[in-house]
Amino acid sequence: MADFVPIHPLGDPEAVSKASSNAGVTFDIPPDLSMVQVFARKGQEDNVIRKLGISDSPRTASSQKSFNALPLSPGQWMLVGNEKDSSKFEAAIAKKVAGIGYVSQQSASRVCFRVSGPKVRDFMSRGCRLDLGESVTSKGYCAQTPIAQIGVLLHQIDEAPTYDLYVYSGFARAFWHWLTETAAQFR
Amino acid sequence: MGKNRLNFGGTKLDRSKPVNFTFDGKTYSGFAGDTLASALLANGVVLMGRSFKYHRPRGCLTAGSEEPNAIVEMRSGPRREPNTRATVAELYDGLDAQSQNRWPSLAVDLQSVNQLLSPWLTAGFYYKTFMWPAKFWEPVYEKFIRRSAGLGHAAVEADPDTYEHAHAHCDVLVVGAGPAGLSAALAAAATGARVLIVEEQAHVGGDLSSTLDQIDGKPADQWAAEAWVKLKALDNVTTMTRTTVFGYYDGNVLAALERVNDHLAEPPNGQPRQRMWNIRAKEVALTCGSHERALTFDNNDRPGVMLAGAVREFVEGYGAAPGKRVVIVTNNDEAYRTAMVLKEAGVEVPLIADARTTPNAAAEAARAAGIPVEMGVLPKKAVGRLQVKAIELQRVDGAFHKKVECDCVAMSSGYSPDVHLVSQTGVAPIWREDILGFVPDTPKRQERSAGAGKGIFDLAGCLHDGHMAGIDAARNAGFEPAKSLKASRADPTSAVPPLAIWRCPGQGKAFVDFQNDVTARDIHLAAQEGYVSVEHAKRYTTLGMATDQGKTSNVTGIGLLATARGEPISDVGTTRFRPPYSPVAIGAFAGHERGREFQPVRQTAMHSCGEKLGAVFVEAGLWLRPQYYPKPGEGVMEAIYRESKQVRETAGICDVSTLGKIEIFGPDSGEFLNRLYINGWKMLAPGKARYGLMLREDGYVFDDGTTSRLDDDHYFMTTTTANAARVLAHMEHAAQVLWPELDVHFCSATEQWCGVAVAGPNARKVLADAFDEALDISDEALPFMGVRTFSWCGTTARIFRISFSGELAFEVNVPWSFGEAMWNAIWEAGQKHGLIAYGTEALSVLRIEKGHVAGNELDGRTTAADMGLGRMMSTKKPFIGQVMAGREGMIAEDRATLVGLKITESEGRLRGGAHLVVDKDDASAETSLGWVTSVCDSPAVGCWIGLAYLQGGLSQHEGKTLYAVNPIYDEAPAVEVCSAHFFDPEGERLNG
Repeated sequence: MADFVPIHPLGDPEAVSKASSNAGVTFDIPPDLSMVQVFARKGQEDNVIRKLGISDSPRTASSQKSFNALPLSPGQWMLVGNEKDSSKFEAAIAKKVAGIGYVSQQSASRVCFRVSGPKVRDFMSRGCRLDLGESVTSKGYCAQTPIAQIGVLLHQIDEAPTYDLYVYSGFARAFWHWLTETAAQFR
Repeated sequence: MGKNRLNFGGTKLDRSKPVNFTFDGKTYSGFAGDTLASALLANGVVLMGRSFKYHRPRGCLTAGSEEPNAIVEMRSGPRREPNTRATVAELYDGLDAQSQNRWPSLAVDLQSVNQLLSPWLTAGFYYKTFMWPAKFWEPVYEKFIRRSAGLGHAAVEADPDTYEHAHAHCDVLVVGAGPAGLSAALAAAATGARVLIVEEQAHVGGDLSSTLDQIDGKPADQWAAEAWVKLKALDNVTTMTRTTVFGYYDGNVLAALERVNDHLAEPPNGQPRQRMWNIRAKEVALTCGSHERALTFDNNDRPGVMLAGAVREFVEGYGAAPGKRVVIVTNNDEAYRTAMVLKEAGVEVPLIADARTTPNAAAEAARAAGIPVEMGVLPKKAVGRLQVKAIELQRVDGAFHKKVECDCVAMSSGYSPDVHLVSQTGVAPIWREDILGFVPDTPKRQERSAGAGKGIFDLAGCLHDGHMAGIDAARNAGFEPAKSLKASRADPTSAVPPLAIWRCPGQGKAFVDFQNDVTARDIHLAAQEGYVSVEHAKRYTTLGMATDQGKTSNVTGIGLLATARGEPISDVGTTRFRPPYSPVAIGAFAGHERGREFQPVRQTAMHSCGEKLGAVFVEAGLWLRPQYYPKPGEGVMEAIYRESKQVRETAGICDVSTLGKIEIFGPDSGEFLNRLYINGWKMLAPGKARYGLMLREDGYVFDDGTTSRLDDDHYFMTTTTANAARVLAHMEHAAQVLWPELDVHFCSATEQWCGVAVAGPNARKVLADAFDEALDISDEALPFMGVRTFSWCGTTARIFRISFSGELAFEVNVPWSFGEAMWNAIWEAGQKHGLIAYGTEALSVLRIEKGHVAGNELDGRTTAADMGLGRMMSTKKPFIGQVMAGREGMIAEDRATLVGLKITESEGRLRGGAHLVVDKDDASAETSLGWVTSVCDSPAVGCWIGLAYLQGGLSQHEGKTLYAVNPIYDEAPAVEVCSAHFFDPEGERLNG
């Protein structure tokens, strides 16, 4: 049997580097991210938070050694790990929350677009209705919002700032189209 | 250099950059920084347009965005833009503008014959003239009105430029960067608040570019420029020019249009032409300034007659003299400033005619400067046609005074505070007799007005008031100013109040609203005919409509209406202003969302596989799905027929990734499903799938699909493509609101898993070869409605033995990123087994042949029993929709229920939407027994077949002949009513 590999979300592995050269806005698609959605069982929210060592803030992502936890709604988080083997990641998290929570494999469901660069705040204002001002959000800020009519899970990962924008895989190409069209003015 | 270009003034010009442009085919030159209007004036061109109704020759009245007259067509081809204000259009090299609403030329416009008809073209002309005979309305009147309506010609080709939306947030928004605005922004910024200051023009300072006054001991325009530099340098301040705030909405959301590249021939690569801003401001300071009004006298619209402030602006700001000999007519002090500027620029001012009789300091200063002033004198009539040649003056008692030769008249009837935005918030402006202007009443939002926009017209007052507004706004946003914070200062001045003159006596045409050709007489007529409410008078006369929104005319019109009513202006009030403040292109509203980007496209993981096989795609919501895969030379019907036939003979593969998928977890999942679906779920064993049907709360069918039990407390639901998001929301509502006690959790997995259906007698062989030792799909290992998870290529895959086609069929799911790999693996393995790809059309043919319901049958009006699924409704448990489904009408015996139809004619076809009748010659809504929902040319049955809802259903009509009437196509084929299970009713083929 042939040894199949997952397809690149954009169908063109070089698309990202081509779009990012000499730009006020730069893009990246971090490879090898694993994602699982974690649910706390009824009445077990605090236990899950404790067990995973994550923040109870509804707006702030918390970082652990092997993953970032992005709050989705009360008792629900998206855990994003730098782990190529998504099944291994799923199993590890499932083990931690066994009996107090559930884990849904979501690694393939979303594509993460990492956006940064000197003009990134101006760039984000073109599609994002949220207030991402320097005095308002900082590292860890996390929200779900539509950008270009596409649902986005947004995570500010540093103070540069750099934003990780997670979109459903089916929208990856449409979102990429919007990203690059809008970024053209910042070249 | 143009013949009227001055060496004086020109604060907005860059005289080192000459710019060439054309107007009506003739080439002129101006400077960078000019507007089209200022450059034309500098070249001695006064005639710029024709009026809307009477086609009267017009020049520019103003120097800004309130311009009613100088409306031109800019650019050409796909960028052609009608109704551009020459006073706003910034000059660029190669600018090409045409006058509009004239034929054959601007100087000789034959349609000006309309003026002869003017006795009939008065207010309410349309309502009065096109009443009788009624039958003339469509063939004659409407055509005539449509031809006469509108100005200019829109481009026919698609606009090559792009537009975009953007979002801004601030503590304090300052609207307008005149003296009050700059002062407000400086004060607010000093508190540390996040400030956004937005200026409509390319230059800041507003009126300061055309004043001789000083601020903080320096020339006022220099102070403005320095203030702007200071603001731009602050981290907590964002500045925008060429940006008009045009709407003030609920929640302190304001909309603004940034003309990013209107001042260039074409936007630089990658940049939008315009950008629409949504601004969310905690607090707003409205420093929008004021608009000067025209005096209403006969022929006050002649080219060369313009507002005194505009004349001052053209001279000081643009170094362009609107004339060589300028008479000033006024009722207030402000126009004297124009006289002083003209004098300094070396332009002759033969006379200032002041309607007031009380002595005033401004007049004394003018006289001291050698400018003749006459008090108690009003304009009577402008003389000249294509340009004013003289002005006739009269005494306040109406007696003729004298005639003065001139080529420009600078007029002023006082200033109206710009209350448009505050009026949009629902604040009714209140009248102040002392300034003859409406000012904002108590705010209803987090806003305050300052400066001229509030009726403070002296510079020192504007600076102070702006400063206080900036502090107040910042404080309300939570920022406290330092005690040492001080406002900039100018010398205080005192003004004598203006004199109210809404109509200078005369018998001729005296225009109030220049853009709509509304005269003083029209207002009087409207009042006389009963349109005494200001809102009615506006609509009857069109006063204050169109691109300028009556900025120069509204208050005069209200003054005239008040006179006609014999009441004070305060009792008449203003109309409520509505967005937009000034014209906004549709392109800016659309932004990025146009053409293929109108909505985002959603693609499946196997999209490129479909493309490679030449699939024709169809939109399913936002998704693109392969509709059919035509072979070379094959038509759509042939392709669908071939695909559906081949699936039943060998095997087919279909991309079913778009089905909604929901992962469900928790010990109460079974109970939860029991309450969602009409059928029972508690007995479903792990490793098994079941078909389920959901109702809405009102008892009608909502959605259907299969749900599998993967583990004791883990289920996997599929929904229809169309309802995926709705079902998830329905479940969220149920879990969060209806039954919060259930320990159940779920999330979308639609794009975690992509899927294919492999169907047909060879399906098992195809998959066995494709997945090899990874999977045992024997009937024993995977019986009908069985579900297995297996490992393939290092990832987890799921296989479901379910069938929509009625054939031996499987659905295989793998993570999205493996979709293409899976398709290719199955495709390669399937070639020796006759595998073909089939699209949504063949999928539909196969399910119709089996009588399976889909979207066409789940149309929101049908019950489970209508579909023949009434027996699925459990009586042993409650579920959503159960009670309402038992209502009298929902269980009535005469409800239309699902049947099959076979065409009985050798020619012709069936169509969805056709109505079923007994007698095709008596087809009507009353005789209709039902309707056709889905049709296909069935290879398995050998003729056109369809599904239909029919009153009385199969029990009353089986075997009978009815007619499927379709009046749109004028067809009425005979059909035989039969069971919807056309093919393999016993379901034997499910076993291969």
